[in-house]
Amino acid sequence: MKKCNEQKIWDYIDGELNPEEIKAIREHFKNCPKCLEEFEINLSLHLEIKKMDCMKPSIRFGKNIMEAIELDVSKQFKPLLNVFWKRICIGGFGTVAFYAIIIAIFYPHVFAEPNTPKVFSLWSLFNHPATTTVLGVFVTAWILYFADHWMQKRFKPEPAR
Amino acid sequence: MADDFRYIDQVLSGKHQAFRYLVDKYQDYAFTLAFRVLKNREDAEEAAQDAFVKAFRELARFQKTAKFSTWFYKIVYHTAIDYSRKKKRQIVSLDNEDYHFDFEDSIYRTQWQKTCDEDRKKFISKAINRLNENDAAVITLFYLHENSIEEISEITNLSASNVKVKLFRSRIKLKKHLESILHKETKELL
Repeated sequence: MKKCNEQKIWDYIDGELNPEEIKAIREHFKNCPKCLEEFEINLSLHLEIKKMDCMKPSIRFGKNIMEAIELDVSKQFKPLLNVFWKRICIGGFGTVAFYAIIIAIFYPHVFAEPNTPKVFSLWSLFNHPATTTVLGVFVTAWILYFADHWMQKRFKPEPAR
Repeated sequence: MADDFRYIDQVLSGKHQAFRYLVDKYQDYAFTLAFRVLKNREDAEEAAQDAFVKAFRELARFQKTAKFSTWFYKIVYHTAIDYSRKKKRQIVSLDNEDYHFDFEDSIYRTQWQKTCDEDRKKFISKAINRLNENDAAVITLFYLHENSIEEISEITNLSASNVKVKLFRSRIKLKKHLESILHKETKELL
């Protein structure tokens, strides 16, 4: 290096010079106190910046990201029916299925031929409209409660760690 | 790097909680890079957070031939630049300041040598914050994140030679900003 060149000094610090260039710059430093001083200043600055630490974001930063991602995931995989309608559909289906089973078991004369004598069955206990209504309400509530409980577990996204 | 890939695979297979590992590993770097560009904590947190969510959405497109950090810093850098353009913050330009000080001037050199490590870090941090967004990002990526010129080129979409020139100019500007800061400190001390 014959002339003073700050770019070369930085290249020397960064270790980007080839052996000939390194030899030339070292020779130059011997004869040029200004460049040597520049080198010392630049090297000091270089080492100081290298020592700098990363900055820390707020404590909630990571948690906020995971919450934003969860929200993103829940939007991304949005079901065709929302949870409310799923509960209504499955709850309704469950109730109908339950009644069908009850009727099939305790009301055999529904399926019997007309004018055949009605045999006493457990159904006669529930033959009064008031009893059936009360029973219907309780059974429906019970089915909806368990269906809702199951669906909350099934469709709720997992919380972040 | 292998760990990164392992967790990326887990995220892609549906275990999105595995992304927490990448968040914990890169949050300080992402925040620092965003801060250097935006010069404001709130904006930097918002931009870095946005970058993480973008990275999560785009994770399937990440090709394992590259380092995850390079791919991710690219998202952080461009998100921060977009935020900066939106906010249109006024960044102190080197041209607007009066730089008639010379680092070789013995007063400032002596003060620089006398300052303790913590003060030096503080001065450098101040000086970096005075750089414009691109210069500050190049310095941060080169020093703090120890990226190579080629990696910085990929992150910033600049050519390698352009990055080299920017790095050189940023260092010169940084020195001049330091002179200015040391000049003010000296005046306060005297």
